[in-house]
Amino acid sequence: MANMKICNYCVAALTILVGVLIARAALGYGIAMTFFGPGPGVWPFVLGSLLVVIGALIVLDTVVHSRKFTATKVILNDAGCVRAYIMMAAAVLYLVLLVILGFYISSFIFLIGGMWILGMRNLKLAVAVSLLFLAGVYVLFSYLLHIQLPLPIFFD
Amino acid sequence: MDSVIQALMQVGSFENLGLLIMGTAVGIFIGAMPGLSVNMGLALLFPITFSVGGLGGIIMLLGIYCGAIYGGSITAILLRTPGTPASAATTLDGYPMAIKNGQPGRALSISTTASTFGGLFSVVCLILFAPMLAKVALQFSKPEYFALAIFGISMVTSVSAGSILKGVIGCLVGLWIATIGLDAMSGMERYTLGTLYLSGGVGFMPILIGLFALTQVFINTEESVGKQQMIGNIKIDSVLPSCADIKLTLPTLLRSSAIGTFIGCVPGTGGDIGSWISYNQAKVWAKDDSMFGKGDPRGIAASESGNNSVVGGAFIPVLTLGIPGDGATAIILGALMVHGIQPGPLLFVNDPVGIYTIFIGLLLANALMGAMGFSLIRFFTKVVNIPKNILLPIITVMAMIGTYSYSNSIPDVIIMVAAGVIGFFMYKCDMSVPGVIIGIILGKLAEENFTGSLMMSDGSFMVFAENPICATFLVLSLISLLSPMYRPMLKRIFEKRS
Repeated sequence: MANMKICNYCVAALTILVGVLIARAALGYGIAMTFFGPGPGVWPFVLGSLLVVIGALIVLDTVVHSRKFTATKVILNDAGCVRAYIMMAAAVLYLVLLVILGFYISSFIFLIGGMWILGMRNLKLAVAVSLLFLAGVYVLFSYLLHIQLPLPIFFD
Repeated sequence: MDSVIQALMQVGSFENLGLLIMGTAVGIFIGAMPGLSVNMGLALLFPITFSVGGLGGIIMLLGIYCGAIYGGSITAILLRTPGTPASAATTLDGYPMAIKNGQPGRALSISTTASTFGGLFSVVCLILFAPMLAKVALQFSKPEYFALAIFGISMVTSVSAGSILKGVIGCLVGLWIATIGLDAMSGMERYTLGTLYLSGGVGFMPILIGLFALTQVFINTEESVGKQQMIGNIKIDSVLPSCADIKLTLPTLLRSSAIGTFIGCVPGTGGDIGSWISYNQAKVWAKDDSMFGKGDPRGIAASESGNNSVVGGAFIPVLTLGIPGDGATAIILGALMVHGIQPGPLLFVNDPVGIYTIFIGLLLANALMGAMGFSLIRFFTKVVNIPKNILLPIITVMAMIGTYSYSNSIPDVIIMVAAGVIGFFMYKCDMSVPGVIIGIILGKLAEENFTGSLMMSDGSFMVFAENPICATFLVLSLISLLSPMYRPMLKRIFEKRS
């Protein structure tokens, strides 16, 4: 379990880092006034600089209200979070399968797997719901609207 | 008067009325489906107007346009998945009221009332003030557009539910995301990492769906541990809003509808900007804003009346000047021209029947949208009663479909999933998500007009102060941006006095 003070420092560090990177890249694009107006780096440079300023302000705010932020707990490793991380991993796996197996097969696998992760133990119901939902998607998207959803790589 | 009667007969014919009903129903459905945009719906059904002939097809398109803007609120409220970008602001109070407070019927009835009110208000404004408002909007040049964008960005302090500083970070990141791709002025590639995909810029829909829908799936998954999955049994007593809700939201409805109508008649804006600005103003004007973000009826009323009132406003430049304000009105403008109606100042003289048919069609489309919305609220709320362990995987798949069908792009789906994961950690760190969306929506408008203004003035920043409309907007933005600092102080002063 972390606390909001640590979180704030992490957010501030990340913000300052991103701000510096954006501003640095913007300098490369050019921030001088040209015949065509301000250089393409002007706007991103302003944004990057503002990110650095806001990052510093967060550090200041955290130092000033240190006690309040230390008392605020941030839960990142309880059973609920672990289940959320498993769901995230399942979503990433679904994405990979989407490219390989196409939409319908990968969605069927994800729907059953997702319901299982969320505690559904009635396999027949899970299969029935998944098939019904995918049939609806097929009728609407593929049949009526002619929107092509990803196909398996062996179909390409 | 003859023209009005002829127009009434035109719209009231059995065939045209049927087309209007069909268009509105299809529009509501399209709006409710994440990934199916208003433009896509109009473009898909545009060819039907050829087979219908006459003004019937135009009337159908009007129904789709109105219905789709409203339809987006249904999934925004019930699933925290805005069907259209215009409904993103509705999630802020709609979802907490529907799910956390267990009042989905109330949330939907307020959104339906607000959408209908906003839509009808803007059409009445269209009829009464079309030529006058068009003149004001025409005076907008680059500095005014930039100031309008900054005014929109300034609302980030109002929509940041957690830390305001972190909300500003989100907005700045959103503004930066909008810079990715080719620079509009110089054509230089920025932050593309040398990839072809990023040179076209990052799509807005994948981030919107990821941050709102997928993040909510992960949050609900986390909260589902230790809870027994039961079939919900939320019952609705009435599908109509209560008198107390109407009384509470009426000033917000009037204000937001006026804002939305004005935003609508400024070309290049749209329902998303209208709803965010209306939401911000509702919060600024509220005596007690502590319930905003937790299911305040005024939040729902503001965003929904704000986005639906854009519809009538958007027709002002289309009909009076022939200038489309956004993609949807561009399609309708095309349809009008294909059917021999040439929008412009002479339209009122040359084709009064056509113009009155459009006015009456818009009025009827909004009324029908309200009637359909109220009658289907009980059906919509059934979604809430589906057990979470079935609903969450289905929402994930819908998010995938919505993202992919928007541009047929797998990288967009990757961005959507990444946005969902990042959104979960943003939620953990007390960072507000809407700031990112506001940044992306307004980023291009702000940058292009900032650069353009400096070009106009040879690099002098005085261009923003010399123009009265621009200066007014910038002062208002500053007041809005600093509101979290002075509002508690003002509140204390007023409380002491009372």
